[in-house]
Order: sequence, then structure tokens, then C-alpha cells
Amino acid sequence: MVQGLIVAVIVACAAAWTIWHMFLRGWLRKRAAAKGDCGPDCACGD
Amino acid sequence: MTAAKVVEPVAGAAPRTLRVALVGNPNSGKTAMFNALTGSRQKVANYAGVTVERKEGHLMGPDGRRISILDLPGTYSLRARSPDEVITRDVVLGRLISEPAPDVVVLVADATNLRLVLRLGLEMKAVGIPAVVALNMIDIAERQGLDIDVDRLSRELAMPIIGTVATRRRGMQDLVLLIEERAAASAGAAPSAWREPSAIELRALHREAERIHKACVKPPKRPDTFTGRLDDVLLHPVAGILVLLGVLFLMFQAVFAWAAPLMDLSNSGFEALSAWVGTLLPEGILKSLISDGIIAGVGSVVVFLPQIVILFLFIILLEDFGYMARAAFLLDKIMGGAGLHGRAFIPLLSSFACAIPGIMATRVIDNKHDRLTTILVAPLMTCSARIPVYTLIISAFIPRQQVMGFLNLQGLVFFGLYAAGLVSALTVAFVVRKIFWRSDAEPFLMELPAYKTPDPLNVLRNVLQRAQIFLQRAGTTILSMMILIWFLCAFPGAPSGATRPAIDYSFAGMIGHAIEPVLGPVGFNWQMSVALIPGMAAREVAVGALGTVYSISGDNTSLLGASLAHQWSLASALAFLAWYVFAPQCASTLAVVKRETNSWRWPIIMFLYMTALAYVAAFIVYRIAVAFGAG
Amino acid sequence: MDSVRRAADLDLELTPQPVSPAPTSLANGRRGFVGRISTVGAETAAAGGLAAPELERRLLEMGFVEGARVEIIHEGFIGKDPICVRLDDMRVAVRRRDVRGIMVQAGEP
Repeated sequence: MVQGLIVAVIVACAAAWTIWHMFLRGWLRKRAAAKGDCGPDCACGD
Repeated sequence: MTAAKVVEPVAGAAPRTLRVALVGNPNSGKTAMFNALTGSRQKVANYAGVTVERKEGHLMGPDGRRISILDLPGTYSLRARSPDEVITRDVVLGRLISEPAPDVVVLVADATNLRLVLRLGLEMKAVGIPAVVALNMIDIAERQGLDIDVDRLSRELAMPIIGTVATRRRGMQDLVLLIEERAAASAGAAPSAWREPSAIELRALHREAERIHKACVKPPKRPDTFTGRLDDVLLHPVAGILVLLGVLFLMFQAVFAWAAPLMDLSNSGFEALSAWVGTLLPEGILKSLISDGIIAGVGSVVVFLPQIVILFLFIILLEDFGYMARAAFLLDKIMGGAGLHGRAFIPLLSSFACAIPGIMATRVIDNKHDRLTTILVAPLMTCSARIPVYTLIISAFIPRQQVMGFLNLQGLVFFGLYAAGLVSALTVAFVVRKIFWRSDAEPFLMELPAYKTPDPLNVLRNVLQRAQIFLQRAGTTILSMMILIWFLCAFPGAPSGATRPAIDYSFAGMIGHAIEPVLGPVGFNWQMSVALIPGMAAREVAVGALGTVYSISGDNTSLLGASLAHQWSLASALAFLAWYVFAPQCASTLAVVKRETNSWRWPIIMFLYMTALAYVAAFIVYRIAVAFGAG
Repeated sequence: MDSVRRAADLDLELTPQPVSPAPTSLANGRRGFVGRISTVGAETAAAGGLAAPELERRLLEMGFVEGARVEIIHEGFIGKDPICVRLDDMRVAVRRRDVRGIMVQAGEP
């Protein structure tokens, strides 16, 4: 029972961390960058 | 100044941090100077919104004032031609909102090659930027008997000048004093407006620089003939190419052969750790998570650290020695034939380590189309994250034997995989240019720096930085992925009275079985299909995933390779290798492409074309191998 | 001096004349070609996508200016392209088609 609880907590943490790292953080950074100034030619998209 | 002031930072009263930026031509020893000034107190990050690497460090001035040092990308002029140079210009001119204007700019000049940096100095003088000049590599200038009239130079540029040898930390303290003096003298002075010089103004600036050069610098009594003599060999149409091929081949043999003992060592280390944890914990689900999920999974990736270190050691040594530019020269025609710029060689070579720094390094290419082409093919270069996959499969399926007496067959196959990546990158580049744009490439204009003995400390610092980044990934992304994969593999458990192994009933088993029909024609079993999914996080995770899949499925073989060797057919293994030559599944690469190109179009194109190539290649390899009886 | 003779052998245009031979494009030089730059221009939009004035400015920024001494010290192995030029005391790698507009007064100055 205790073991199952510990495992559940660890897995939940890993899931949360992955979602944060792969999606949320990038999204937040992008939003922050949009507010900052990166010059007219900082990206080369079409 | 009293100590109280330092401790209690009242606005306006305490000395605030002095901001210093290093500016200079490429190859002027700017980064060595940055390292000499800041030692290990440095932080590598990105500028907000762009992926130009931002290197900042700090040191304490003699009076206890904190000095922060910013290492800016190298440039020949304030007129920026690439995103890197835009950053340099905007920081120097104080135009970047996220980056306050530096109090003092240190113009790092190669004392043996002053002509172009003089013009940059004149540009800075015209704008009124408070600057000091570090006449770097002064020892080489002295050895050559180069006579520089420092006083006159200082008057002409209106900047104080000091001779330094960054690699030996010579002149660093005096430089710091000079920076502080300059900051005190120019407090509050704002640079005037800057605008792009026209060709006529550039000529005038050049004439002025030339006049100063003539007046202040007497030609060397003993000019450097070493670089010229070495170039006679290294740039020779035949010998040069042979040397280049030799260097590349040595690099890959080294990655495979030298790293082996270290890898064996860390492998047995992780096994011992896993066994030790096994004795501490009671039998059950937690023990399974820690020893099967975390230790086995992360361990199987960290084991490849020695190879990554050796690869980076080579890349950094070649860069510091000055050979990279020569390689770009030798390869320009081949690259140009494939529609790439000679400079694309550097990003592509970096992609051997990881496509992400490689794609970031495409910033050295000014032209948009050249750059996009390079970005699209960079992930085809065999990145170090594929090394774990290649190593695992090769050591399990390719016999360790000598060919022609001195070549290691495993090393040869390894080299072949690298070559396959390179050839496909060039082919795709050629096709991309034909399909998307037919305009000619950017001018190829590149200085070939004088050869220099790499500074061991510098090399060491750079290699350690790379190793640290890799371990950070292993400790964060890979760790959390490993836990999730373990979860997918362990739940839901097998029903009572199950006949098949437990993992067959888990989520991972379900996903694997779901995509198996698609991958069946290329010879993939469901375990391989399962491993591809977590491989999205990072390619090397696939190895950990295979480890998890097989160690959980009740396989007692401790060595994953041995386990694979008797569960996979040779044809499947070869198809897996072929798949991994293209292996589109790297979420971070796609994310970087998205960020660098500022559109979803290119990452989507990249993902689709790489998946298609991977599938076709694996299919062909599998069918041929089966036809030869390896199925 | 040896290099001058070699260049002259290869290129009839460079036959030494007592006063001043006509300037020749750096793009046509062979290994060993020495001279001083007489004009820097971008006679054609040599680089395709890149406008001629921009190419001219980049050449200027790299140090290809009127009066600079140039010497071709190495050639690539396919089609003798790109070339490595000793430009005053620097070494610069360029493609031939990008330096078509650089006219050079041949001969050791």
C-alpha cells in the first residue's frame, strides 16, 4: 500500500515534469519572447 | 568606499554591477579571454526569443565591485549580416530591450591581424562607444617581431590599449583596471546614432584604418611561415582531401574504440548499483520502478557519455586549431554541388554531436535559403543520440573481428552508418534546392585563421560544458521519460492466470501492437515499435525503452544486447539501423526548427520527409536482408 | 618573382608590359597570381540572390579594397574552385564567381 502510494507520487511528478518541460515552459518562453524585442530579422521564416 | 556600501545596496549609492561586453573579429581569442576573465563563473543561455547563445560570466573587481562579462558573437563590422551579428550590434548599441547597454566594450583584437579590427574600432569610435582595446595574442606578435606603436594606436582610436595573452591569463588584471577606469571616465555618456555605412563610407573607413595600420604597425621581422607551410599540405587538392578523410575516419574509430573500456566500466557500475538497490528494498512495485525503470533506463543512456565526450573533444580541438575553416574550404565545392554553403559544413559537423547545436549554428549562414536547406538536412547527420542505438545493435549483431588486418568490423559498420547519413543529407539538400528554390547560393567569404595550438584548459572547459548539458538531459528529460515508460510498461498488470508476459497486457504493449501492422513490413516487432514512441523525447531513450521492455518482460539476460541478439533477426536489426539513419522522432529537434524558422511549416516538412525516408530505407534493407537469408 | 612568371605563362593577357597591363579579374587568376586590386565592384549580380551592392560591401568588409595586395595561394580540387587568397596579411577563402568584379593589376608591386 505504502509502496503503491510512493510509486503513484513519483509517476505523477514525472508526468507533470514532462508536460511542463516539453510544452508549458516552451509556450511561456515564447510568450515572454513575444513581449521582448528581438529585432526585425531575428527569424528567417517565410 | 566602505564595506557597508557593498553589503547594503542602496540604489544610486552602492556601486552597481559593471557591465562589460567582449566584441571582436572571429578567431581573435574572444572566448579564451572570456574564460580567462570569468573562469568557471559563467552561464550559457539564449537571448530572449532568439537562439543565439548568450554567454555571460562575472568576476569581482579589485575594489569588490561585481563585473559582469558578456561574450558577444564575433563580427567584422557593426553592419550585421546574420542573426548572430544582429545581436552583437544591438547589444553594443544598446538597442536590445532585454539587455542593457554595456558600460564598457572590450574590443578584442588579434595583435597579429589588426587590419580588419581597426575598421571595427573606428566604427565604434564614430558612434562614441566607451571601449578599451585588448591586444590579444601579444606573445605571438612579439615572437614574430611585430612592432606595434601602442601609444599612437591608442591616440588614433581614442581608446586605451593593453596587450594580453588570454590563454595564459597574461594582462587580465590590468585589463580589469583599465575597464574600471574607462567606466568611471565615461559614466553617463550615451552613444550617438548609428546607421549603415555605404560602400563609399566603407572605403573611407578602410583607407583610414589602412593609414593607422601603416603608421602604427611595422611588418613582422619573422612572419609566421608555419601556417603557410601547413596549408601547403592541408589545402593541397589531393593530400588535403586525404588528410580530411583520415581525420574524420580517426574520429569515428576513436569514438568506438577508445570509449569501450570506459563504457564497460560504467555499465558494470550501473549493474552493481541496481543489484545493491535490489538488496535494500523489499520485493515489489517500488523496487521494480527504481531498479528496472530508473537505474536501468538512465544508466543505459549515461553509459554513452564517454563517446559523446570524445566526439566533442575532436570537434573542439579541430575548431581551436583552425582546421574547421580549412575543412569548409576543401568541402565547399562538394557542398556547393549539393546546394549547400561551404559554411554549412560547420553546422553539419556539429550535428554529428547533436542536431540542436547544429541547427543553432546555421546562424553563421547569412542567406535564408542556404540556412533553411542546412536546417532541413542537419538532423540527417548522425547525432550522438543515435550512438547508443547504433552501439547497442552493432555490438549485438556485428561480430567483433578484424578486416584487412587492422580495421575493426564494428567500427567499419559504424563508419558506414555515418557515411549513409552524410550522403543522404547531401542528396536531400540537392533535392530541396531543386524543389523549393533555385536561386544561387550566398557568397562564400571566409577568413582562414592562423593555426594555433589549442589551449588545453579551454578545450577541457568546453568539453565539460557539453558533457554537463548531456548529463542534465539524462537527469531531467530522460529520467522523467524513463519513469513514464516504466509506468506504461508496468500498468495495467497481467490478469491472473495470464499466459503471455505481463508487458503484453500493459499500455506499452497496446500501443506497440497498435502500430505493429504499420511497421511489420519493415521487420519491426512490437517491442521495437514500442521503443520508437518514447524515442520521440530523445533518440537515445529508445535504448532505455528497449532495456525496460526486455527486462520487464521477464528476460533474465543482464545484457540488453545479448537479449536482443537472440530475440531479433539480423534483418530486423539491420532495418532498425536503417530506420535510425533517418529517425525523425526527436521532439526537441523539431521544436528547435520551429523556433529557428518561426513557422510550423518546416518542422512538419522535416518530420514527414524523414519518416518517409526512414520507412523506405528500413523496408529496402529488411527485404534485401531477408532475401539473403538473414530473416 | 617566380610566381609572376608563372601567372604570365598561364594567362596571355598578363604578358608583362613595360608600363601597366590592363587589370584582370581576380576570378580568372591561377595559383601564384599576384597583384594589387585596382577596382572592387560587383559587375554582375554574381551571387544570384544577393544584390550586387551588398556583395560589394561584403567584399569591402572582408578587406578586398582598392590597393590591397592579393595572391592566390591555393585552389580547390574540383574545378580549381574555391580559391584561397592571401589578402595583405590575411588568408581568405572565396568562390571565383563572387570575386568576378574584383579587378587586379597583375605583377609584384
